[in-house]
Amino acid sequence: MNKNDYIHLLESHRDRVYSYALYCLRDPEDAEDLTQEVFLRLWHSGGNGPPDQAEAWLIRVAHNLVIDHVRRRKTRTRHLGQPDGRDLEQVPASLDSWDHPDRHLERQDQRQEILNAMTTLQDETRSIMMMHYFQGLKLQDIAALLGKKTSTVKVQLHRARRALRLVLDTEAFPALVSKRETG
Amino acid sequence: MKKINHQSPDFTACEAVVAELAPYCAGELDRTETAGVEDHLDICPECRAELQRERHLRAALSGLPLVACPQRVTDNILREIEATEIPDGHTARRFGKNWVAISGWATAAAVAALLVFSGWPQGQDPRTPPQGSEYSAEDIALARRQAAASLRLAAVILNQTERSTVQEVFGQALPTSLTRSIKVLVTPPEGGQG
Repeated sequence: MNKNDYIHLLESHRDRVYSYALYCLRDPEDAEDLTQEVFLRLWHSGGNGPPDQAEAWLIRVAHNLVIDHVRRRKTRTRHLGQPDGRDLEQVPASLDSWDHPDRHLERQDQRQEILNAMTTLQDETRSIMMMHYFQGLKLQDIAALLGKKTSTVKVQLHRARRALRLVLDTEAFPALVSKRETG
Repeated sequence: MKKINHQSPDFTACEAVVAELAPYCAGELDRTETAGVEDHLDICPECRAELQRERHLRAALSGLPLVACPQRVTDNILREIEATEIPDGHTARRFGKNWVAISGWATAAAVAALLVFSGWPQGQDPRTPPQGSEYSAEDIALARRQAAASLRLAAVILNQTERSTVQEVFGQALPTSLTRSIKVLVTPPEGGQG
């Protein structure tokens, strides 16, 4: 990969990698460090693969670094699940510009609730959810990236949904918690 | 997936269906699998409720805004790759398996040249030619410049630990400009973030 190709990849994918790291780690500084590390690894790897595989490569490396980072952070007794809300206060690269401001705030609150609830999930499960729902990766692609069976990834997502139901605020997420209320 | 095209919902069929709801909503199931899920949903209110939850979650997370990566991250990345780019435009890693050997040889050659032409460690100032030298001052200055350039290149392609070692061991004997070049490349030790 020459430098121009590299810079093109960097500019095309930096926001996506950074956002993924930010939503997984909930800490802008950590997300910056991780994004930097992902792209430096791409450079040092030589990036000789096809450009269309670069995105998958970036996501896989980002996922591994997220897992490593959370593990290290836990060993330093810094609690992952302390949401500080700084993440969503940052300027988004793209906003739901069609939303009415009130509706936008409501959506933002709901997302924040879900992100908070997701901190109770296993690190890998949280990362898989972000890959599928946020990054838009197919389950079979996630399975291939992580060396898992597709059925395993499906079950992880299903269990994550069930686990979220137990911690989400009923008022913010009636649709998500209705089963708990009625059950 | 368990066969789920049946007349009344049962627990195992529901378990199979709820695991398929994410790929169902993402349009990742084939026609047969989709039909199987929909047949079950027609007769199972519990799984229909679960489908709503899946859609709600999907809408919330897929609608998360993309957050702009701060420009300083890009600047840091580009600065770092500039530092690791060697003159012919290739990245250091392209040396492949010879990488360690090349960096080692480059360092050794540069240090040896510096020692020879500076007279170190006999106690002389490494920046002044030793008395009685058979080399002219011009030769020595040229050799020093070449040695410094080689060491500067070596410093670029060495890893952080190696750079620190070079700086530590030879720091006192190296020209100030060279020491500064190495120091710039050695990033501060971890610990600033907690």
